[in-house]
Amino acid sequence: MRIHEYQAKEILKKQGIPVPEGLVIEKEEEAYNFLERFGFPIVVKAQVHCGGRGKAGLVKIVRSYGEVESAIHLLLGKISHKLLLEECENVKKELYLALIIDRKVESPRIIVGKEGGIEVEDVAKEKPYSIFSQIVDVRYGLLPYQIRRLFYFLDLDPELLGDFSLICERLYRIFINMECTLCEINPLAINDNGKFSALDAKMVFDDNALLRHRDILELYDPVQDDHREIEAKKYGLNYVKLSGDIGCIANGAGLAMATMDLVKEAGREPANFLDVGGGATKDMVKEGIRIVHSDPDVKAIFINIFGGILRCDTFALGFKESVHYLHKPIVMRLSGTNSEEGLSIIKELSAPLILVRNLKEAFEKLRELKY
Amino acid sequence: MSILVDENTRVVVQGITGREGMFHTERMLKYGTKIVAGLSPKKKGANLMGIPVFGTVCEAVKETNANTSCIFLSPPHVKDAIIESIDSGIETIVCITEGVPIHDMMVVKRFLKEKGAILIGPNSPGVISPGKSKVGVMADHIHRRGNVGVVSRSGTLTYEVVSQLTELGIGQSTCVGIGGDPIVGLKFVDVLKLFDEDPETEFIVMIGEIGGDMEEEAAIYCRSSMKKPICAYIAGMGAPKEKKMGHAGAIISGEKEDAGSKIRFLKEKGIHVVDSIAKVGETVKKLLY
Repeated sequence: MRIHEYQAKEILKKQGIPVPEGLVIEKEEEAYNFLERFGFPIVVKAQVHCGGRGKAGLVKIVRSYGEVESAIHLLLGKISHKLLLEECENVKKELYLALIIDRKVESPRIIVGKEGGIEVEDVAKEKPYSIFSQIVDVRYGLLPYQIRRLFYFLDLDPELLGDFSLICERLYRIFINMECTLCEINPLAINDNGKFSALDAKMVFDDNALLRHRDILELYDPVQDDHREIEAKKYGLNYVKLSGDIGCIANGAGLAMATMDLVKEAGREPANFLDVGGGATKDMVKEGIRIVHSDPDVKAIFINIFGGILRCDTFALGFKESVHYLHKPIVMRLSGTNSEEGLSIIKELSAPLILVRNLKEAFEKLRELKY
Repeated sequence: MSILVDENTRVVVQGITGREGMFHTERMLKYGTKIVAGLSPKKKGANLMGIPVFGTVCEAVKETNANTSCIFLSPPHVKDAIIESIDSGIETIVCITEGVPIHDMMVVKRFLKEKGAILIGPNSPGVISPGKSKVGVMADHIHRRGNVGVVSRSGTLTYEVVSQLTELGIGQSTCVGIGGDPIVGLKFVDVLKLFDEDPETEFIVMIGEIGGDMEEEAAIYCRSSMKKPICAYIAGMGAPKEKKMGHAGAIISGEKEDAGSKIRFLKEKGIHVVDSIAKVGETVKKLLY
């Protein structure tokens, strides 16, 4: 789960990592109080989950009331429900600091970069000499010598070691205690007064750990997700909206991906990824069909079920209860556990159905499909 | 022979009194798996379907000589369960549970590396050596005993491939679901090494997907030291970036993690990559005979 910049900064601040003075507003009027306190220039930042906000014009530096007004009118509402206003600091140097989970070494990795405001992946490719990292052993935590290695790599004023160490230790504590998969301060600025400041922050939390972090769950902003994705999540379905027009339904994540791939091979474009789950119930099947069928972009549907834990007759019963509203053409493959029982239920129904026995046949039918 | 599980496998089921645990214990027993013990702290001393229930793995091992554990517990209990198994001398741990927090897995992996036990999963459908033993939840009726080893990150996609093989009369030595999470126990390369040493396995099918670089690691091993022929399929050609495709591990976060570049890498290393899921069975048949 991702959170907004202003939420991440609140977490940093609570742990004692310095961030610029700022205010979150939902209405234009709320801005003026802040302006009286800080004067100009200030930064106006849209609170949306996407990278490269600066380039996309979602971050504005404003120098007058007129500019504030036009920035707020442009960003508040359609683009972003909340704006973050911040004082403009006098930045001397920008750095990069992040903690990630490195899948390959199966451990946290702390990364620093000599330049801030970067896409770390691009820099790793183009200027690998400007970043440096340390693998952390989760049993011992981030150790002082590792922080010193990072610090000396950055080639900073030795006076700053104390402040830098505190920031690293605190960020690591957030990362572990809140079970993040990413904690990024980008850029981490050094101001002309010699103090560090986290100018932008990004945090991603492990979805699987959220049950033991109710406080983090409260930070979730549903506005950032497709409404069908939110609905699907409620019913325990894995749904991702895509740009094509063939709705896809399968059980199990791997099979659901392969189903999408088969649609593409047949020269069609999948409208979504939907995994009703290896062990779906009748109601989950019903919801899955409803979510896909109700998507106006979907012109036809490909259902690919391989019964394992989910029995084909269970699937068929869920399908039967949906059949009264189905009007889009459906290609269906139903194999595996109890497929005979499932197919005998399906064959009784009157639906715009093309039944296929295997994926080769499905491929042919998808190619021929007219809608 | 076969790998990981066979007729000598003696299973303790961790979470045997739960809904999933009970259901699949019954199915495993029916398949002929030797389930010798169950674990349920609150029902210690009970007897379920003829299986004695214990309060700790240590006790279960002492009383029944269990050498394999199968975990059906809910996600927050998995870290403790895996480490308990390792600490009790269990050799092979199969973790079915989906949704284990990744920070827990980082701790577990450090422990595993020290003690040298084998972990399969989490988020795994399990392991089956057809006709000998099944430790897990897979649909067993589609499997036939034979000489093809199958290793995969996904459950139902494995059923698809196995059923294609079985329909063409090609049996399997062992099918291993390594699990769909970003951090799992055995990786592709570890399973390939086991298959390479197994006299019963003649050919291997690897079913990968987007995310991470386990497939690439396996390909490097294949090029440098693998003795047996292999073919692969990679799911997720149409997946967008930064979106989790069901499995926690199936997410394209780096440039090298999408299906296209994975497939190119595998091909460069000389691995036969099947371009369509519909053709995996027939490709194996062609390469095998």
